[in-house]
Amino acid sequence: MAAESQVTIPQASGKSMGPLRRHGDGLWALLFLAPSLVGILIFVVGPIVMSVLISFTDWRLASPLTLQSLREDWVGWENYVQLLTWEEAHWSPFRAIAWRAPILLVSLAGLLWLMWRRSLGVIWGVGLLFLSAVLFGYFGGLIVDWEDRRFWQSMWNTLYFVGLSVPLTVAISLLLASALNRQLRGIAFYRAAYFMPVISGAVVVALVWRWMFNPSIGPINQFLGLLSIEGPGWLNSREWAMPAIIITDIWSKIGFYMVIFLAGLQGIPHHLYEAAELDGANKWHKFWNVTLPLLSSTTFLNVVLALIAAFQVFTLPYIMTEGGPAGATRVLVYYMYERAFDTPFRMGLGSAIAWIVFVIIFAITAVQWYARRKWVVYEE
Amino acid sequence: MKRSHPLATVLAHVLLLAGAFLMLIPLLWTLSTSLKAPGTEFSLPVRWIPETWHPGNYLEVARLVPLPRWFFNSLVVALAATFGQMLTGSMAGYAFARLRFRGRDTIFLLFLATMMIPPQVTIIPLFIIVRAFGWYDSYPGLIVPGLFGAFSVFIMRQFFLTIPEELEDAARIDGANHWQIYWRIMLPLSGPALATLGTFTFMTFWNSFLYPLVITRREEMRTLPVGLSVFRDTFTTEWTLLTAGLVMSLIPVVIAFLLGQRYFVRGITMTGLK
Amino acid sequence: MFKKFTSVALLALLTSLALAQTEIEFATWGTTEDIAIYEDLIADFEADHPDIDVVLNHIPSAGDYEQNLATLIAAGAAPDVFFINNISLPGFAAQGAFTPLGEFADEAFLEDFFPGHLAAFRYEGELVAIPRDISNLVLYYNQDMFEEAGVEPPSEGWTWDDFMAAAQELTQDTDGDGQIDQFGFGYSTYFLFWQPWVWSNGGQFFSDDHGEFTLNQGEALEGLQYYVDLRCEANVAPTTEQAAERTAASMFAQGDAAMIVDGRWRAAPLNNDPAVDFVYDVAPFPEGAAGSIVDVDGSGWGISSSSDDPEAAWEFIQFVSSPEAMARWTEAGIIIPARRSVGTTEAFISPDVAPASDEVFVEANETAIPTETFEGWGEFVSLLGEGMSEVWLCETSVEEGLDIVADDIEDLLSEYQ
Repeated sequence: MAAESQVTIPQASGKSMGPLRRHGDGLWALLFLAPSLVGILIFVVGPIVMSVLISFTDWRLASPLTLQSLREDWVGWENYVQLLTWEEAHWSPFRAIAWRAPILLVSLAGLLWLMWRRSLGVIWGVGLLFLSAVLFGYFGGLIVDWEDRRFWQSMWNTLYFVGLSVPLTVAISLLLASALNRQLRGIAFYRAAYFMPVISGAVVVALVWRWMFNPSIGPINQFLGLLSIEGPGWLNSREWAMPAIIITDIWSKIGFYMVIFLAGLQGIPHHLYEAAELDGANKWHKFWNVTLPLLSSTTFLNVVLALIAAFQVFTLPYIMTEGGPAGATRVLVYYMYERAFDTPFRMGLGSAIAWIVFVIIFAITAVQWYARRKWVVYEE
Repeated sequence: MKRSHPLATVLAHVLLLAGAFLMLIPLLWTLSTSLKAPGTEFSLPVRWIPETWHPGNYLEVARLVPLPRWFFNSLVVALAATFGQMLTGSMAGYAFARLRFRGRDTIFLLFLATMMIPPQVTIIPLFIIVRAFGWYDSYPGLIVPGLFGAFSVFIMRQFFLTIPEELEDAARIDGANHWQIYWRIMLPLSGPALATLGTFTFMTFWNSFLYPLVITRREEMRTLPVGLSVFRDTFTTEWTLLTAGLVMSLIPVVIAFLLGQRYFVRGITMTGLK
Repeated sequence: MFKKFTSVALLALLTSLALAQTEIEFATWGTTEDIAIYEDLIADFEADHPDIDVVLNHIPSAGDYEQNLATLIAAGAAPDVFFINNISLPGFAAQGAFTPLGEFADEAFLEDFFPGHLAAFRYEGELVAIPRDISNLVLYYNQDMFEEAGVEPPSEGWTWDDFMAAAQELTQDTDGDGQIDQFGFGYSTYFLFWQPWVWSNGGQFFSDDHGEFTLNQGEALEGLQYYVDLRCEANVAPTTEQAAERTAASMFAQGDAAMIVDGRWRAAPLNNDPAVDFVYDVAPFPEGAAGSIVDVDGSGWGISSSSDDPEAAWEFIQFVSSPEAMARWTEAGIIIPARRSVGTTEAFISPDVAPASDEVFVEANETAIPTETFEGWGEFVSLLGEGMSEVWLCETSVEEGLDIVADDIEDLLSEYQ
C-alpha cells in the first residue's frame, strides 16, 4: 500500500471557506432552488401526499377521487395491517442452519474486511457480527403464516432481486467504464453499443430476452448445449426464472451506469495518476487508490439510483413471466400493480404497498447517506 | 501513459466486440423483424436475415398513422424536458453542492425521497393536479411536469462536488457572485455531466409511455410511443409494423446519444485543469 | 373578396355560437381498421348532429385499456361514452361507473339483441351497456391437412373422443427428424380459450352465487385436466417448449397445427395473411359430457355516470349501434354482430369469404354462456395464473396447482358475498 499514503486527494469542497462564505447563503439558495422547488412541490410532492392519504382508504380506482371519497372510504391502518400481520407464527430457532451458512460466511468475510480497512471499529464489528448471527439464526427459523401470503412472497423475491442485481450492475458497469475510458480505436462504437439496451426500451428488451432464454430455441441453452451442459428451464422454472430476470436487468442497465461512471472518470485529474506512477503503483493500485476514492461520489450516485430502480422493478417480470411461475418472480411493485390496477381496483391497498416499498428504500438510502462521510471523498 | 502490449489491445477488442454484439441483439432483432413479411416474424427456425425483404412495412406505418405529428410532439416534449431539467437540475445541484444554508442535507434527502415512491401510485393524483390547471390534452400538460425532477438535481450535485473548489476561488476574490460562478465557471466545466443528464432526460421523455397516454386523448396530441402501441392489441400484435415504427422512433435517440457522447469523454481534464 | 371572406367567417362564427356545442368524449380500444370505421361513423354522426362534437380517445393496446379507463374515471376525466367488455364490466359497475340505460333503451330497441347476451351487460339487474359484438369460440380447422391425413373433418355432433382421435392422426413428424412438427391442436393457456373444456364437461368455475370455488373439484377439474392432458399426456398439442413462443393462432396460420379454438376476430387476419396457403373452415366446439358449451362474451358501449349530457351520449350510442353501423364492422370481418338482424345478412354470411360455415358462429350462441365474471375477476385471474403456471409446464396436476391458491380465491370470493 505504498501508493496510498503518497497520493494527495483534493480537499473536501465544503471545508475551504472563501471570504464570501462566512454567512449562510440562504437567499442565494432560495434563488437557485426556486424553480425545482416550486415544480417538485406541485407536481411531485402534491401527488405523493395524496397517495399517502389514499393508502389509508379503501378507495377503488374506477370511481372519482375526491376529498369526499377519501373521507368516505377511510379505513385507517387497515391496509397496512393486512399486509404486515400474520395469522400464525411459530419458531424453530437455529433450524436448518445449513443453507444459511454460506450467507453467514459471506457477511462474516465482509465485516472482517471492513474492520481490517478500519472503516469500522473492532468492537462495533464484533458486536454487529454477533447480533446478525443471532438474529439470522433465530428469525431464520421463523415460520410465519402471513395474512397476505403474496405480499411476503413478493417481498422476498424483491430482496433477492435487489441483493443480486444492484451490486453486480454497479460493479460491472464500473469495470466497463474503466475499460472504455481510454484511447482505443472504435471507442465511440463500443460506448454506443453498450448503451443500446438502455435506449431500446424495456418492452423490446423483455421480449427479446424471453426468446433468448427459451429452453428449446433460445440461443443461451443452445450455446450451453455446445458445452454439453443441459441448460435449465429459465423462465419456466421456479428456481431459474428470477436469475434469468436478474441477468436481463443487469444486461439492460449497465450501459446507463457506465455512462455516468464515464462522466465521473473524466473528472479525475490526470496528474494524480502520474504521481501514483512515479511512486511505482501498478494498474491495480492506481484503480484501488486513485480511481475508486475519487469516483466515490459518482459511485454513491449510482448505488442510490440502482437501489431505487431495483426496488421498483416492474416491466421485466410483467412482460417476461407475468410474475410466474408460481409467483416466483412476483415482485413488490408488480404485486402492487395487480392489486391496484386489476379489478377490484384496490388502489388503497396498492398505495400502502408502494409506501412500504418507499420506507424500505428510504431507510437503506438514509443509512448510506449518513455512512457516506466514511467513504465518499468529496462529502464533508 | 504507457502504450499497451499489442496482444492486450487485440484481446481487449475481441472481448469488447463480443460484449457489444450481445448488447446489439435487441436492436438487430427489431431491425430484422421490421423488414420481414407480415406473418413470418416468428417462423422457425429463427431467421436473422429475412427470407423475403419487406421494406414496405415502413411505408405502411407512415400510411396508417400520423407519424410526423407524433414525431413532432415527442420531440417537443423531449427537448423541453431536456433543456428544462438541465437548467433546473444544475441550479438546484449547485445550491446543494456549493451553498451553505440551514437544512440543506435534509432538504436534499427529501428531494431524493421523491424518487423512491413507485410512480404507479402517484399518476392519478398527478393527473388530477394537471387537470386542475386546465392542461388535460394540451402541450403544457405534456411538458410542464417534465421540467423538474430530483434525478437531475441529484446527478448535477454529485458532479459539482467533484469539481475542485480552487477553480472558483479566483473568481470569488474578483467579487463574482454565486450566479456568475454558476453560470461562467461551473456550467462550462460540467460538459460531461450536462451531456449525460441531457441524453438521459431526452431518452426518458422520448420513450415515456404511461404519463403521455393518460394526459392526452386526441390522436393529434399523442406522442410516438403511445401512438405506435396501436399496433399492439390483445390477441393480435402486428410485429412487423410495430418494429418498423420502433426503428424510426429509435433514430432520434441514437442521434441524441451520439451528440452527447462526444462530450462524455471531454471534461475538465481538457479545460485547463492542471 | 376579402370582405366576402370575413362575412362568411363571421356568419360561421355566429352560427357556431348560436348552436350551443355539446362535446362528448368517446373512449375505445381497437386496431387501425377498427378506428378507421369509427372515424367515418363519427364524421357521419357529426353531420347528422351539428350540435354535438365527438372527441375520440383511442386508447391503444387492449391489454392496458381497463387500467387507463379506470384512471380516467378516477381523475374525474371519465369519457362520456366508453367501450367495455362484459368480463371487466362488473369491476367498473361495482364502483358506480355507469349510467343505467333503463330509461333510454326501450323494449323495441332491445328486441334485436339476444337476451342471453344482454344479460352479460347487466349489473344487479340494470342494463349498463349496449353490446356491439359477440365473441364466442369455435373450432378452426385446416381442411387441407385433414384431407392429406385422410381424416374425416369435424362436424356437428363431434365428441371429445372424435376430436382426440383426429388430433392423434394429425400429430406428425413430417420431416422424419424424430421431432413432432405438426400438431393436431394448437394450444393456448389463457382462460378465455379453455373455459369451454370446463363447461362442456358439466363443470363451473364457481357455484352459481359465486360463494364457492368449484374449478378444483368434480367435472370442472376433470374437464380442465383433460385439456391439460392434451399437451402433457396425449401430446396432440405442443408443450410450452415445443410451441417455442408461437401462439396457437400463429401455429395454425403457418400450418403447424391442424385445429385451434378461436374467435371470429381470427378470420380477418387469416384471410389477409399471404402465408396462409390452405383452406380452412370452422366447426362447433366438440361435445363433452354436458354438450358443446363455449363462452359468449362481448363488448359494448356504456355511458359514464358522470357524463354531463347523457342524452347526447345516448344519441351517439344509438348511432354506432344501429344495424347500418354494425354491418360495417361485420363486413370487415372483425365481429359477430350483437344484432340478430345483422347476423343473418350478407354482411356476415358471405359465401365467397372464408370460413365457409359462418353460421357456426351464430349457432354456437344457442348453448353458450358468458364468462363467470364478478367484481374481483382481475385478481382471480392473477391467482388462477399463479396456480396454473406449473400445470401448463406439465410439472404438476391441476388439483395440486390450484391447491396453492384455493385459500386465497376463497378469501377473495368471501369479500363479495
